[in-house]
Amino acid sequence: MTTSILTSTLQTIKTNWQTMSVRQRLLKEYRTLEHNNLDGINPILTENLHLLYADIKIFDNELYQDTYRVKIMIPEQYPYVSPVVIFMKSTEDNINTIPIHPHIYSNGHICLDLLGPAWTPIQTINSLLISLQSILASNSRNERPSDDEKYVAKAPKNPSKTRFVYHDETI
Amino acid sequence: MNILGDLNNITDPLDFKDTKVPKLFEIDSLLRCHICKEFLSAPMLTNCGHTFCSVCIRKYLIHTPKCPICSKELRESNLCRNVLLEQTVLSYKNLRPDLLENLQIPKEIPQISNSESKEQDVEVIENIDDDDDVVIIEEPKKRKSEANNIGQLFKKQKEKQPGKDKSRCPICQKIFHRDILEQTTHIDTCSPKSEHDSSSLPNSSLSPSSPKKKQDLQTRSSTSNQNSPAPSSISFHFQPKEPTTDLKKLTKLDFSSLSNSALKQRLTKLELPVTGTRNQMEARYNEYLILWNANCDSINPKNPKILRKSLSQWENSLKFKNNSGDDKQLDKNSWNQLISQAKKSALKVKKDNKDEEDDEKNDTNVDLKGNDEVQETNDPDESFPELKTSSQEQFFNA
Repeated sequence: MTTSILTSTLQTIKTNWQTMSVRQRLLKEYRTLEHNNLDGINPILTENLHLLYADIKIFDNELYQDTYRVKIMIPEQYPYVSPVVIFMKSTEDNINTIPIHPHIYSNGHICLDLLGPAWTPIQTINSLLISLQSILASNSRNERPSDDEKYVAKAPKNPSKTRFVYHDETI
Repeated sequence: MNILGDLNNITDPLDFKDTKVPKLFEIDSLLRCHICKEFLSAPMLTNCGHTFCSVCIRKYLIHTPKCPICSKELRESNLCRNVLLEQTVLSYKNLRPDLLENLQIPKEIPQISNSESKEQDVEVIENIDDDDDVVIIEEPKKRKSEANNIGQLFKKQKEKQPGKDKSRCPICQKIFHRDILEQTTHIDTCSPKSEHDSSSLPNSSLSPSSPKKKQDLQTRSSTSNQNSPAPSSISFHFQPKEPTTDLKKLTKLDFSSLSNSALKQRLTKLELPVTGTRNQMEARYNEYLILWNANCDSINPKNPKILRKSLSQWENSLKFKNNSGDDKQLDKNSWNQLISQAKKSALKVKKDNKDEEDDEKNDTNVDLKGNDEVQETNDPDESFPELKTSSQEQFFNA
């Protein structure tokens, strides 16, 4: 009984164009990511289609000698809604630091307009990773955001719930 | 779940990267919508000159009245159909599988035996020398040992090529002595075997007799024979069908000034269900509005029944997501396939300390392996706890 109900629901999903289009777009993006093989960006897929990691290396900037890892979570409404991206640590792979940057909080949250109001569906995971790499590469200020402690103390787990104020256009 | 099939069905401009004409990559990506990355369906031109699928751009404009590419102000009323582009896309979509098939680089390079490769050498030399003289080719001393091969080759060549005093009838392609062609009335009486032969007439008369060309022509005519639907679709494109039925666009409703019963009336008029809460009915109307209006933009609109079907699928998916998560996970085989593809140059899949939940999930997976699919469908729900509790709820309540 239960099995038959579930299989019928599964069939509904299979033909659902909305979920399908998200998934198809993601699969295409992963293929492009793999094909482009960007310099210093190493995407790590998981078994979950809506979750991936990426290791980012920065060249030509003394501030960022390590490899940094971002976790990218893709909401159901993608691409109309931006992915959720945070920097993270990983003891297993010796990724111990969250890059020090005036727009990156010490809990890994990123204050970047591209992840908020500036996101448009024409952006891709590919373009997002390149942007992240470039905001690090172009930075020369070795500091955290001024309100770092205050923010980290009461930040929600999900940065998309934070309303960042994008006051600094220079970096 | 047959998701493997889905994986294969996914078309991507990258498909052309490994073909003989990788530049087709460009046109393949140009004919796609920036939002869904699929081929444009009912493309709409914005007043800033960009083009998107009707459904995609309408959905985007609900939240943000700007062009996704250039951020210029844009409203639904500014959108304009782009019929020629839609026809181009349709035609290209038709053509694409043929292109891919014909431009494929064979995976296994056919092993060329020694004698064959030598034959190729000789052919090249022969092309350079305009003289048909056999002796010249046989002159190089290195090739003496291969004299037999060369001899064989020229026997073949002689068979294929009409001699100096013979030539090919431009109409029936048969080889005759020149005198026959010039002095008798063969050409007057000769009739082509089929229309296709006569269509190839100008080419064959210009370049008498290279056997390869003849083959080409033959294959061409045979393929055009096989693809009998092609001409009909061409005529279709020249005379695009305008929607026969009067498809009037739906207008947005001001829900705040609309009573429950009035809303239900509207829905029944559109043959939509009137079940569910007020919010559900409003969402249903809005979704159908997009589907309907986008359908009106298409040059061959679908039957409203199909629209209603996809609307109900959309609703079901919402319910399903709210109740028990959805199929964010592909089945293991297809994922492994995708991952192994992706991993060729990348490192192994890594897990981080934050994802202890993932480990738990793996544990449950092991437990469930012996059981049937009922439980398998439960685990995607758990596999993505963070997003589900946060962004997902947020967006669906909105």
